[in-house]
Amino acid sequence: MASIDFDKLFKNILVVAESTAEEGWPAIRDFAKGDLEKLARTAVEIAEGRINGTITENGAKALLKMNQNAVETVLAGAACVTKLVAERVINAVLGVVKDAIKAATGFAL
Amino acid sequence: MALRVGLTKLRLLVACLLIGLAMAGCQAQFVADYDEIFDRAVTDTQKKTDAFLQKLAEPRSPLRVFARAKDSYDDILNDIHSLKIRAEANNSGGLNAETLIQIEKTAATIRELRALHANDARDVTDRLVVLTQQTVDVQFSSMLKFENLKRRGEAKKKQ
Repeated sequence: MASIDFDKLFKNILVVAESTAEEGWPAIRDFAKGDLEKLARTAVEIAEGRINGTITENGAKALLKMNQNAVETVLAGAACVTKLVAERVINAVLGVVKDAIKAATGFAL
Repeated sequence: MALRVGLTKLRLLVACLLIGLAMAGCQAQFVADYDEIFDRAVTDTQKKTDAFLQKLAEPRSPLRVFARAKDSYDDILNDIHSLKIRAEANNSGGLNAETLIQIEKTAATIRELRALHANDARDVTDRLVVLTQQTVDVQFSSMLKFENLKRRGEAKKKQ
């Protein structure tokens, strides 16, 4: 039975973790950016509507609360994208470990 | 010297932990699985909400009278409540916590509009309805996008 080379294993883990996370970060950015831009534009339109009288004071207050709700909705999704990335990285790392154990022992886990 | 010994011990500890997890056949899961029924229900609720807001946006819509719109608000909120029940059923270990936040915040937006309308229908102007629609569209789209990401995660896990 061969031994496991920890240095090699750690190197492989770092390579997999880094490459997987790099694939994930643009996903987080892409998930939230477009929606947050839309909501920022809506916030400007609320202010314009109040100035030109197409939205009442109570209406503007309600819209701002709705806008806040929407920002929280998008951010909750973005937070979860981070979790999905972490999940993917850990599972990729566990895959590297399983491969190393298989190579050393001949047993597939 | 002490730092090097410490790092070696830490590396061994992490390696042992990872090997233990790998040998136990563990797979990390921080987010609930994709739920096709939930996905379809969100799409249906989004369509219903969109149809209602489009009618409400028409300047002479009968729905501008709150009494005529009340059932539509209740119907939409009832659908969102069903989404919540579905998401809660898949929330073992808190894996669906963020989806539940998204549902609650979307319901809060509809409740905000309903309360404004019930209080004084004159506050429900054409422009307000258009901006409400833009806002609620982002919320439904965010929920759908996120549910879709859960599906992509599933595809990767099976590889």
